[in-house]
Amino acid sequence: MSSLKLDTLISLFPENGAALHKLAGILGQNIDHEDFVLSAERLYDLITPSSVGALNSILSELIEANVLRQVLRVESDAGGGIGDFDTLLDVPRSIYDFRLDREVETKFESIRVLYKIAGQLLDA
Amino acid sequence: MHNDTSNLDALIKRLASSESELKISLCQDYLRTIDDPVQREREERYLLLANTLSNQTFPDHLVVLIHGIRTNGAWQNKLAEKLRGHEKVRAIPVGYGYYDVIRFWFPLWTRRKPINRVLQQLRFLRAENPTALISVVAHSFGTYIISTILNNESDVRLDRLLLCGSVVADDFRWDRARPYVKSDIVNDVGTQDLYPSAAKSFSWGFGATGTLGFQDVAIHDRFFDCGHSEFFTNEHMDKYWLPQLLDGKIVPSDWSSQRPPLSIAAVTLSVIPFKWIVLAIFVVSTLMLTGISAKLMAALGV
Repeated sequence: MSSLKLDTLISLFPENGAALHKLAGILGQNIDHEDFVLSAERLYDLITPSSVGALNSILSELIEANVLRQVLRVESDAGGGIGDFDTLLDVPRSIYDFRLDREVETKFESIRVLYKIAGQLLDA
Repeated sequence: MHNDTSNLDALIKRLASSESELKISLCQDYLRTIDDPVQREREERYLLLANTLSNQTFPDHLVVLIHGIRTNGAWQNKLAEKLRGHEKVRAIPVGYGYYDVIRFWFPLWTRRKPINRVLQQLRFLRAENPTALISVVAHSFGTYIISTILNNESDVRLDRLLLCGSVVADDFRWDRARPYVKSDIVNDVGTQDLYPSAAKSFSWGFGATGTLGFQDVAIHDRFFDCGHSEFFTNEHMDKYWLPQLLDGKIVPSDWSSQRPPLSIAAVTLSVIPFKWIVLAIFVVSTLMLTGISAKLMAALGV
């Protein structure tokens, strides 16, 4: 994994330059906060991509450079997460919901896509 | 990711109408068919983002393709085919008829008609699609057309602009035109391409920017080891054009830092304005013909 320069990222995605500056600032402020997460919706609001593919392309660069890490959080019907997974392939058909104290079937709609800080900073 | 998204798009559509308990299995079955882990991760992320952001609105995107001279623009159909199937993206090949080399060479009157024709079509597209993104890919004389429009018409705004085989003048005022394009402008340069240098040398109003680049802070020159019409390969379009057009991603070219010094032919054409020699020959020939015909008429007593 290599570190990613903010300038390099902006040269790849120049039309999102201002948003990437802002994202780098947010990530820099929260580098020590282990619980800090950005939802896909928050990233959409922040970056205002022209398409899903455009957001995916930017996130791919950030994840492959170890700036962000994707987490798939299965949420309980009662609210709150009941299990975190790296990939859809790891998500089980059923999961113990400790909030409801019973085994529940995992639903696609219950999976929340989150992004955590992976360790590497977006260097200015 | 851009090569073939049809299976992924089909899965996303299928998920929308599937039973809730089947959706995860459908996704997992699909992802297991992808051997390359990086590709699998990217497709998985696309799938998840498309599902999560399904309520968000994304603008339609019109990609206007403008061809050069002496062609019917077969590359336009090829690129249009690649863009077809990408949701909300529509490729629009724009033409101005077959444009021969004589009209291209002649600096007066002949260039206005194709410029007006493309301008009318851009205005029509904007009027019909007021909220859409509009991007342009232009080749050769098409680069001259779109740069002239951007320089003269303040109502034309583009989101992404990709030039290749550019014949736009070296001293073109991009500082004036640049504010009308939202993202960085990319100029794909073929280091074996002599046509732009020849256009500059033999005619007026053109530049060798498809051979040498603009070397302008407002433009992102990207060099390739190819000739004038060799950008239209599947490899080039997939690797460099689709990321820019679809995602706004500008993929750098290694050749930009490896390219050799200019060829003697390129230097000669860029430096020597053969147009003045051609014009001098034309004027002298005309004068001589006039003189000969006057003598002939005098001899005939007319």
